[in-house]
Amino acid sequence: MGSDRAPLEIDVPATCECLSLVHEATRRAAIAEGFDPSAADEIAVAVGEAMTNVIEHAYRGEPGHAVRLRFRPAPEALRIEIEHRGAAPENLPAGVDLGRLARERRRGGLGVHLMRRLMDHVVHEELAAGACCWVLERNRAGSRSPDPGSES
Amino acid sequence: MPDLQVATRRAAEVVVVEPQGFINAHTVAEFEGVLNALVEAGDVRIVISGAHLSYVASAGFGAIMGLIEEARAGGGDIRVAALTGTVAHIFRVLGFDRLCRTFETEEEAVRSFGGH
Repeated sequence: MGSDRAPLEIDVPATCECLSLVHEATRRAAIAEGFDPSAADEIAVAVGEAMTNVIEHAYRGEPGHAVRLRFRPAPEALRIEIEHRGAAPENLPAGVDLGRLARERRRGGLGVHLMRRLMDHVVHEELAAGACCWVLERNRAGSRSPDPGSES
Repeated sequence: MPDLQVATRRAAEVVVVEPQGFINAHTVAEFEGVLNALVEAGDVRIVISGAHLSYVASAGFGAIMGLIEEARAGGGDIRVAALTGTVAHIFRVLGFDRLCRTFETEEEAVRSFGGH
């Protein structure tokens, strides 16, 4: 994939059964873009988190919906858009307190946190005509994995 | 081959849980079901061996997070061992190394329960 090419688009049913397919497609796209295998794995996990968020929260687990994945290579970064027509999140958490979540026996609430840890830029945008989009970007160069203690 | 297989075996008074494959929102029920059954049965000294995991999404870590205090309340703990590659990296960047004791090998993790 080159930076001057049209974006690669994939339409996928918004179901958990498709998460492994999305993981593998993302991983391969990232490797084709020049990311090393471990970075490609991280990008694939982050995209899976966005897709899971759409399935469980935007579409509330209802069947019959779809997600459009769009890979937009740029010279400095790989941008991945996960477009859907479900509900937009009301509030994105600023951070997580794992100790509190564990004491409350919570099993969720980690997905957005993990996306932010693995990617350089994570936002959710509301587009025209009722569409919404998770936008994830991973820089091609630079250090990754900020100190987990910097956000709590 | 299934996306996830979860084996369990006993080592002294500890149960070693060995998931093989990947854990995401689709497969987590299998993993969570094994952990739930152990804790409900009072088998609260648990070691999760990550040697055969290709990746773990937040759903998998959430399953541990949701049960670890239950295990501790019962006098046990959930400890993890043999994490590698992306799984180990995600474990650290999520901050799970501050929530959950980790060990290089399964044997070390099992031995760590000697003094509880």
